[in-house]
Amino acid sequence: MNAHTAIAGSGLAARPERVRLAGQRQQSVALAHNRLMVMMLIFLGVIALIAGRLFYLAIFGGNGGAISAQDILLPPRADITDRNGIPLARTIDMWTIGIHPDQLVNRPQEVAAKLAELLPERSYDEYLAILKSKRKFFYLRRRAMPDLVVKVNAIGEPAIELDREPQRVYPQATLAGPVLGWTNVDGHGGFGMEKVLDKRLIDPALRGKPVSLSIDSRVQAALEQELGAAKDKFTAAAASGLVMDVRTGEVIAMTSLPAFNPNNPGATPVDNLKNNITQSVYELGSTFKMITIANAMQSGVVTNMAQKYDATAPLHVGRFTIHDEEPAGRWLNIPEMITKSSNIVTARIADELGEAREVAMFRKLGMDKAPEIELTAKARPLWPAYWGRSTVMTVGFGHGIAVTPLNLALAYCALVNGGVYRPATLLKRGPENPLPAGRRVISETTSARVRQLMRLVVMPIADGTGKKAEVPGFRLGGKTGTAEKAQGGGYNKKLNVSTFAGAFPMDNPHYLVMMTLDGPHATADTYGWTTAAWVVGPAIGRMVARIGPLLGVYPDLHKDVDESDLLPLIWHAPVDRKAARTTDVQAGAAAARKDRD
Amino acid sequence: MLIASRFRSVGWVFACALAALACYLVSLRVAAKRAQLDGMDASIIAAKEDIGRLQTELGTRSRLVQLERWNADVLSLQAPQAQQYVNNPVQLASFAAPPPPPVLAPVLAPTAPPQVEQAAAVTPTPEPKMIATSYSSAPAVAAAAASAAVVTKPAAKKAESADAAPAKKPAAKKPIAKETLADAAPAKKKARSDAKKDVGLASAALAKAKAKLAKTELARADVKKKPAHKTTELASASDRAKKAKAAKSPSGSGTRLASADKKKAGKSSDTVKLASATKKKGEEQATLRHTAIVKVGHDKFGDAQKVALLDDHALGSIERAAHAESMSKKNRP
Repeated sequence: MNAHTAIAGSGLAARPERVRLAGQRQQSVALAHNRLMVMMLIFLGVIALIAGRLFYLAIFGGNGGAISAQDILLPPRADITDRNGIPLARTIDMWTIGIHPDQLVNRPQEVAAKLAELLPERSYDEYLAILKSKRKFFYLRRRAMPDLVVKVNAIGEPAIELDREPQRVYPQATLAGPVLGWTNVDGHGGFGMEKVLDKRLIDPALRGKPVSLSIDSRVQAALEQELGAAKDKFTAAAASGLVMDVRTGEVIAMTSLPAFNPNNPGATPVDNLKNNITQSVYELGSTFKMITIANAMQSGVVTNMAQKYDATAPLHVGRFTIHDEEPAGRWLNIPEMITKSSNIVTARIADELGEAREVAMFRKLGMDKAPEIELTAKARPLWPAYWGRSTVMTVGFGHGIAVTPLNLALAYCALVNGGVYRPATLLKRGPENPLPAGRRVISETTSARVRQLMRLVVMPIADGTGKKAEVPGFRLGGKTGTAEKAQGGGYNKKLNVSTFAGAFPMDNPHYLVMMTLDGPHATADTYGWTTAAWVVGPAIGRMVARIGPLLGVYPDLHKDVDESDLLPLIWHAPVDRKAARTTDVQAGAAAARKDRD
Repeated sequence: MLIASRFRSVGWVFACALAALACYLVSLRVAAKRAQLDGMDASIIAAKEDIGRLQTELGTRSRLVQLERWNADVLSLQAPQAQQYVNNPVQLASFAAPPPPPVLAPVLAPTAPPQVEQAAAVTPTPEPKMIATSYSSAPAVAAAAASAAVVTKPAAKKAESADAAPAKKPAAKKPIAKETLADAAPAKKKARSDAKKDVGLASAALAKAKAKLAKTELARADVKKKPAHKTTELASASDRAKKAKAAKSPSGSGTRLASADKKKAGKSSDTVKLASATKKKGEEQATLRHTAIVKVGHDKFGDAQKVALLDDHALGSIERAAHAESMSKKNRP
């Protein structure tokens, strides 16, 4: 438009126009060349990329993103085995029966009748409702047996879909159920180690390799059997048991009753779908006395085993009265205090220790927080909000503080293994799970003395409260603990929580054993008592006799802890001739009165 | 030359094509191998999966909870006591203390009536159980058995011809040395055939031991051939021959033995002599068996300490072989 105006006005404007056009042409040619060059470079780059990739594939043999046989054939979730390689959880293809109600060909009434006959978990009406719902898909049965699949196929309904799907199977059924947990419908871990190890188990690079737990199936079975027998005999509401390696912190067996079957956790009431070892907190009673006495020895409060404390009368502190179940009526030394489980003496020692040292020891032993283990479902201890003098004294013998059984087990491991606290683990120790250095809680010397005292409790000659757990040759040591069950903001005087925690062989401790019965009921052979000595002690003894050889600890009647310096300190009442003439039942009842812890 | 230069480019093209083809073939072969490997991997994984599935089924069927229930409720099993464990080899060895030597009642009791000898004759075979109870007791028991077998030989004959066969020759009349010399070679054959037939032990080691036993017997027979090296066996044989002669004579006949009240002293001295001779032979046989057993132990376990592990079958079978051999000799006319 401007050019035409210039030509019309002067007629001399043509040359500059042509020059400008020529310059433009040159520019556009140059631009085109540039663009062509860029295009060529892009093409060359793409070709170089392809060539490079081909070269890489030729040299390094990559599969070019192709799906390998492993990807197809390996199960989508790795197996879980025990420490000896026995499978505890596997993923295998199993039959699944489903139906597409919107694609039904036959009459719904006919199909519903046949389904109700073959799959009786639902009624005819329910099946009819499902078939008439016009939903796209509905699972009728997962983990179906092959013969059932054949029968369902014989119904002849095209809308029924029979397929093989990977399913998580726990071959040992209820064994170690609370440890293993379960998987959800989507194949991810929902509880227990299935949840903890979820990422590891579905990792494509690692799912071909099973995960080894620290659990030993044989020991687990023995623990469950003996604990289950004790729970049934004393009709306890719940029970929990634990076997640990005190040197490594590995959990060899862990159970919580009532049990559940991880193959079908939905069949168990929700309240029972838990692990009492880590999720329930109890006042574990006199088992805390070992911690208090270890603390006293470590702190220099108790320097001599012959040191005597007044146990002649109940101790009054504020509004509390601390008394012994079996009053000694005299001054007691340390071995006597432990074997007779004297609350009064322990309270006096705790009083001497004071709040600072007691709290410091409990914190060192991890009593102020949830137990250190991989499991995610853990409860925090009920830690006293106020540490007054009475609290210090009562906590010294295990009242006024509620912890999980695993908290106590970890503390006992540290007390007997030479004084080093290490967290618990459910994974087998090895290169992938090395032994941590731990932290020193008490000295070697104190630990050795604690071992002596623990053995004394079980040793028949010392007449301690744990003598019913004695198994000749296994050198078992430990401590009983009985506490009234906390209910409704107070204590139920008729129900106890009875615990035994110990270790064997006490001359060189290797394994911790622990059982807790929640709310046991007395039987005729316990003379009406539900204390740990009567309800848990025998079960512990039977279990140790079974698991000892499995764990490489063989009984030896010629070995034991050297108690030569402590045994003379224990005073035995002279034999009552009148009592000696009583019947067996009377003698048993008299003995029962003694073992009230 | 011109044609060659014109076709040079074609040649190059051909050579390049050939090289490319060769490269492609190599890569094809590599790919094929890789595919094979993948296939193998797949089959391994599939096999592992199958094994896993079967293990799962087996594990489910024999789950520990179920086994525990059976052990406790059905079988009432209990954990072993501390006394049931052996902590060291010395404690184990203490269980193998030799029992007191058996009393050779039928032979040594001078006042024993002939009925006792006859009763002993009915069971000439040593009890394999007794031998097997203790390895160290084998020589004594074998000696007793051997003596019983030899001593009761005339007694057995007496029992057979209790009333009307005083003229019948007792089998013991035949000198044993001669018998051994005559039977040395067949004994070797028999031992070999026995070794083949012995399915109870089913062990080449035992067969070897038997062959060695036969060999030692053969060697012993060879030794006996030489008059300069007459062993106690010959002496015992002559003793036995003497005894047989005495038995044949009126003073040592079966009737005389049956009415032994008056001549108790003479009879008892004869019996004691006979007992000492047969005891010697028995001890010798037992020593040979002992050697054979030790050799079997060495062959089988390669450790002298483990000889004690030879089971009852092995010891019993060796004894049976030796007895069968002696019986066959006995029955030979």
